[in-house]
Amino acid sequence: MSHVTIGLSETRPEAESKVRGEGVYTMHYNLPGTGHARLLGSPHAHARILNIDTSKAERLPGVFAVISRNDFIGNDRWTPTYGPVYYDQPVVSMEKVRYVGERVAGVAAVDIDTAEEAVSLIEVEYEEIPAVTDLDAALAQGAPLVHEDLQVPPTGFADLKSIRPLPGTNICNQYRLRYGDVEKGFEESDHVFEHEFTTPTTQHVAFEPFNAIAKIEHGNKINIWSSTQNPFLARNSVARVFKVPVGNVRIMIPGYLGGGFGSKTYARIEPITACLAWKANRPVRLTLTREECFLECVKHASRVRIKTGVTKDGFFKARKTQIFLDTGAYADIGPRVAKNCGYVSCGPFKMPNAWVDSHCVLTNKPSSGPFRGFGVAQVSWAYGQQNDIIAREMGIEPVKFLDQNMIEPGDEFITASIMKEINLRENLRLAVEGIGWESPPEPAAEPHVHVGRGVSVAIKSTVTPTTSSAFIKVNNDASVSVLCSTVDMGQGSDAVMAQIAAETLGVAYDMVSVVHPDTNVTPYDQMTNSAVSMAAVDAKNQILELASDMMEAAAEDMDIREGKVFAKTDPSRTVTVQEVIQGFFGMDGGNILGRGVLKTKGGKLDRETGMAVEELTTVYWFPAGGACEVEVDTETGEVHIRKFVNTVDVGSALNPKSCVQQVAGSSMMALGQTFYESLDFDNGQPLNPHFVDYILPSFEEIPDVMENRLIETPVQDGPFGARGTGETSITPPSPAVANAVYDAVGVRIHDLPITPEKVLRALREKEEREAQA
Amino acid sequence: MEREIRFTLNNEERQVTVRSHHTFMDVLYNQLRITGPREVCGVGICGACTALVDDRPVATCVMLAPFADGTDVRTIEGLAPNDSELHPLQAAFIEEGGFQCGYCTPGMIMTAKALLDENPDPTEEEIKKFMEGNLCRCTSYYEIISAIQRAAEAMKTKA
Repeated sequence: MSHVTIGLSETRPEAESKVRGEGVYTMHYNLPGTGHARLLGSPHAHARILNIDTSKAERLPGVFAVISRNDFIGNDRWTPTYGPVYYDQPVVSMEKVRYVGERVAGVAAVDIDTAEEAVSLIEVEYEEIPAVTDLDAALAQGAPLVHEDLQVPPTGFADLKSIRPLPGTNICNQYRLRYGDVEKGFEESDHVFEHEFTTPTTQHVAFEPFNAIAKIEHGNKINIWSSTQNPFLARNSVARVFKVPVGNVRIMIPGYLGGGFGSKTYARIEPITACLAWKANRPVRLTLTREECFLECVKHASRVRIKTGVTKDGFFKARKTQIFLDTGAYADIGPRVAKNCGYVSCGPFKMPNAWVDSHCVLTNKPSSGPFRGFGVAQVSWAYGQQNDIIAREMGIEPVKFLDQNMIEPGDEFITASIMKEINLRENLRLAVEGIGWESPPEPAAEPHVHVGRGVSVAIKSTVTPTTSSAFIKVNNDASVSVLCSTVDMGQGSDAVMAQIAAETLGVAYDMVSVVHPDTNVTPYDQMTNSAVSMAAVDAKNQILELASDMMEAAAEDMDIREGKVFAKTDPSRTVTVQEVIQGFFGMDGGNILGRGVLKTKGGKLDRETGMAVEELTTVYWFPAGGACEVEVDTETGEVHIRKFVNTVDVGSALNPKSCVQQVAGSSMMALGQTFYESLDFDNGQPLNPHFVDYILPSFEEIPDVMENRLIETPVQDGPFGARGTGETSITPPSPAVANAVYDAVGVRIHDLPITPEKVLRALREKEEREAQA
Repeated sequence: MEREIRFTLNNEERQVTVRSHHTFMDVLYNQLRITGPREVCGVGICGACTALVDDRPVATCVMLAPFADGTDVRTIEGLAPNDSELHPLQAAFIEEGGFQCGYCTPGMIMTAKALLDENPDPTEEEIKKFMEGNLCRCTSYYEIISAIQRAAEAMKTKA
């Protein structure tokens, strides 16, 4: 049956508000009498706090509240720490500071100027202690510990039951995978390759800063309007800090988010803002400065050692991968990032023997959390290049090498799950076809500019197991409200949720509105999936039941289209949904309530072997391919992309325009990571937490051409067969570009980003090597 | 230090008492609740706070408030002809998908307006060059280039 709205590029309901510049973001939400907050950040990477004196700040006229550890010591009203995996994150620093910029105190005052002045009046005595500001230092024998006693909480995420901290070290999770016999696999290999690749710390740079307003009502009810990506995860942390039931904490997103990309996923500034509001006894707004945003949540820097054995015909025999992720001062969701990037470190390839140790390492740097791609970009940077190295050294055409090793539906993955709902050969084929792989590239006009091509494919899992729920209200005039907690941070979820509801219920797209997330109103949601369509089916079935008397037909013999219930045997017999509802209630009022609750299975991996305990490793996969043609200037080291082709399997394109937007935007973000982005530190001091020296791609840096190709291999567990789209194309660009640079000029860049300096240095080293030979 | 400034904002006379160390961005949002220009980088690099000051695109986050005295200021709020009609650039940004989160969009559109005022028929290269000071973290920029081209086309037809 053809669809009415699914598959159409419906315009987002918020489109006009956004182009008119309306204040639809949390940033623009205000309450009368609000106090404004500023924070005091630690100047040290690692120091004991000997004393904090806030008395001068408190005496400054216009100051409403100061919060420091003094409010937590000897006070059992509040719990000082929270966190998604470990309860290691303090609301404000307690016995010590663990990174430069960590919040030591907060002030709420009549205005920002006063809050800033008060912050400058807070006196803190520190005693510096040795810091571990990179992976090497943190992993060294006898390294100072960032946390002396990290306790695994008794409850937490279902997929993190197998967490494995290594006591006495800075490793807060070591994910292990043992599939087959890797040493035997190497023995049986004709060639063995071993390399190391690194990626730096980067930041999401969502344009709307982290911001929140908190207001405490009588009876310890805590209201927070926040820029969070997931209000329920933030709610857990605030409830823990205030020692109240989660129902007492109401977290709302008044409109839209100005980007998130993962950074706004867990509790960020909500706890400190709520504490300030409680103490100030009035609403308090906290908006982080851009510098503070850069340090609030970052992407894991990584080091990946990868050793691979292949047969003489170019088939994989074994791979051993050691992953080290710099998770910074607090674990955040790093333990899951380590796990998820661990089990995809062989990529979408058949690997008969695999061995992975993936470590989540605490350091005295800002906390690393989720970043679009969730660790996959770090490992695909490694395997995406090593695959190319192997193919070239063995004299096998790189595309052929990838193709002949590609995993297919029915094959066993390295967690012993059976693959399904993927078509990666198509991802690869369409990517290289888009680049014109078969015919040679046009040479560059100038002799010192060389042209090359590269390709890479990758897969990412999705959070498994998880739960998601939604309500549908069909109003008395047959308009529909969708209540779900998916936050629209730019991905266009409001449009797609409305499309799903409209399609299922048989009403027009513009009859549906989406209620924005509010933990007291919209139901729990941990990922975007089928709950809305389930709720719509539930509401539809109720409408058909109610219509059966009026239509003198059984519910299953009827359907709804264009707001009308009709008999399947005689579509000319109709009654409007409005008539059904008003007929049932006997008035122009009432509504039909549909509910959808989904709980996905799987995702549990054995603690010792990393093997899937219950069949599914992930409820579905995100398959991606990318290919490019680049020019490398051997005089300047600059790399220019002529064409980039993304291929993303979206399952089903519910809104094709939104899908393409997501694919293109994600790929552009990946190109930023490929060429420019690196948040640098010197002994833990951040060097470039601002737009002056942290470079984002601009109009001038885009490829000459970008092509985005969608593949539609439906998945069983997504609405209308769809899977998430926003993260998939973040993974192939970096290795594809690196492979193209090698193809052009014969140098390998092992450490992101690919800067002109690195390319020039590699070219010089290559010349020196060749001169000696 | 405080002082009084007068300027025209979207054709309306305004008189505001400002603190001299505040930026014009501070005044537009904190005092006047104009939500179009947005402070993102705070250092005049990303362009999200762009307004047209005497017809030129200005990063209001690095313009001190007193310098607004006596100027003619236009923000995105003053771009559409009315509540039911959009400016061709606004319409084109919707049609071409020139935004996702939309946070940079008002600044982006105001810079694009300055471009089209100066050069009604820009080439792709000219668009890239002129728009370089406006960053977007969500799109791939192609969508925005297409939107500007579409708006240029629509404005030509209209004129």
